[in-house]
Amino acid sequence: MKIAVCFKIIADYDRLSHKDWEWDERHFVDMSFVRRVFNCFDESALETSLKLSRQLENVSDPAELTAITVDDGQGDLFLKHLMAVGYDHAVRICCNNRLDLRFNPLVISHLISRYIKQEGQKLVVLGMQGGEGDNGQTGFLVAEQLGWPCIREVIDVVMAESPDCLKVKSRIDGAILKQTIKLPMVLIMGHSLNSPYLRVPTLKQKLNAKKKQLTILSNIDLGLDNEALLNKDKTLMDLHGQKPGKSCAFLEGKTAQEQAQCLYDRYLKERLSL
Amino acid sequence: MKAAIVLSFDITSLQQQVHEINVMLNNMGTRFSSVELWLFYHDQQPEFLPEISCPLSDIKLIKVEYAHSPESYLYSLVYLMGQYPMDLLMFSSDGLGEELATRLAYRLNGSSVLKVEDCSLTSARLEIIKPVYGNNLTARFVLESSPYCLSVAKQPCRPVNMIPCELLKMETITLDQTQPWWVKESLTILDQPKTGLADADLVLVVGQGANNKETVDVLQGIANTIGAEFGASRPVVMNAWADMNRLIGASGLIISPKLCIAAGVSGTGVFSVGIKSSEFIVAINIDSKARIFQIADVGIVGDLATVLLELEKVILVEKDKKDSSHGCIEDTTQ
Repeated sequence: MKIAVCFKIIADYDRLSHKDWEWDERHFVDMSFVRRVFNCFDESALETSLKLSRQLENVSDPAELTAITVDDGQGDLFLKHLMAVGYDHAVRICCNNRLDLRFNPLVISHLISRYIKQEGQKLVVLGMQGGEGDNGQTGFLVAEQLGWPCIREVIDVVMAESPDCLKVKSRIDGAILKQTIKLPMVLIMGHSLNSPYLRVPTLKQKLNAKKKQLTILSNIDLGLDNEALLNKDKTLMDLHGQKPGKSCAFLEGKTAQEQAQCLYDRYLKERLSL
Repeated sequence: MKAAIVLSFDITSLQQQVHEINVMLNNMGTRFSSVELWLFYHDQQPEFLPEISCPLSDIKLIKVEYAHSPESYLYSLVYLMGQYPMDLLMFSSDGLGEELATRLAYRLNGSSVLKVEDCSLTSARLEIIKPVYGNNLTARFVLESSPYCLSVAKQPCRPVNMIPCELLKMETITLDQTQPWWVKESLTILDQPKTGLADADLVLVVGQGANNKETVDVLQGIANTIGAEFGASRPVVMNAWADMNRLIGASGLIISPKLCIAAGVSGTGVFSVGIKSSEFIVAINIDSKARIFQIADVGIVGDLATVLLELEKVILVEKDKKDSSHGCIEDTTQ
């Protein structure tokens, strides 16, 4: 069974200070100096799919895992990492870097769904949101373009008795929905406690992965010209920073006891109804 | 501009979802030519409806056969848009609202955006504002294609009132819906129960600075002692140091207590959005440059567990003093 997992590499926003949030005339924030990380929901999708593939090792149609990202090359190290931990294929879709895809989930989903159709994948797994745009729409749009059903806020996936089905747990309005579903399907990962983080490869796995080739595709390879990648449903007008922060009053005190007493006397006494 | 509000009656957070839509309606400078409510229900036809802050020109009640299948809602919405075309559709902030907004706009060649904080109509163009870059920035967009399908941003808990249906003019719509072919078996089980976090006056929120489950357990005990609800940032929940129903932030709860003590949280954009509506914020962090101090009223640079254990002692002493003084008054009156 061919499984495609889509992921995005993002800058670690936690490492940016307030003054770093500045942008140029094209509304791009310079993050070249910040380390890159897997988007947390995508990381969960990647690990969940690895676990699922292990369950499918001894069935008639074993899993064939492909990791896909749409970016300009910053994700290559991460693609190698994924090959080291067990992904069979690592694909980067690159586009004309003058195009702004940050707020364009429609185009991202076009690129992904073209690849999925071309390769005959049966399951697509991706995270529910993340990245610069925080769009939260790519999974739904991939499902629409493929004409496949989708399940959102997935927390776990395991194989079912029937070979063309999966058992999927998802979170819905105050409950957990357990479904046995027939493929093909798009799964959108939410907060998965079973697989929150991606496994770490061994040194041997890393060395083996170095020899493996990444697949680099352009939008043209997928049958989409540059005109098709323009954002036609919305236009970015401007960005705004967060409002200036409060002027935080730092409490002095040589010991934690002094600080706690000072906090209580000055600020909490009137606010706590003891 | 004609608008419709699309909601599911059966969701547990209906009154909160309507509050969030009311915030959007109140913020909008736009005057609609009409606003309709399209309310889906699964089991019984509603007898009470949530109070929406603008006059409704019509209320349509739509029965949905398969409550867990977004396809059933989408099928009905495509039909409704064919019969009663709208320029703008407003959806709830939950997963269902986000899914329906996105997929419906795709099917109708419209524009969709999620987590919309503000929306206005200027020079016949619909402009919206939404958070981007992990809630560190906001962006203003012009939407190009009607119908515009928006899901609103989450807001702090302020559930609206319910009013009897008999006071309102309504129309019931029933459509044949096919069973989703891909679902072979389906079962719902209860998730963790709701906590009192949404409407608590005092909340202690703990972040990754707690370092391990043992410390988180101690801090949860302190929260109980001082009468605070306990909340946690995403790393704490994902490490299984606290339950998922304690999650605060963009993908969890948005809270607005009178007093919020944020201990050991760095203050990322996605977390801060969850507590920044609090009346008063106390931040405790070992790093004096932590971003949490930018949204805090008072800060303590120090180890969270040590400071909170001392604070617990202070509060217990004060409680004892108060209890004994109450006891004296009671004794005197006897």
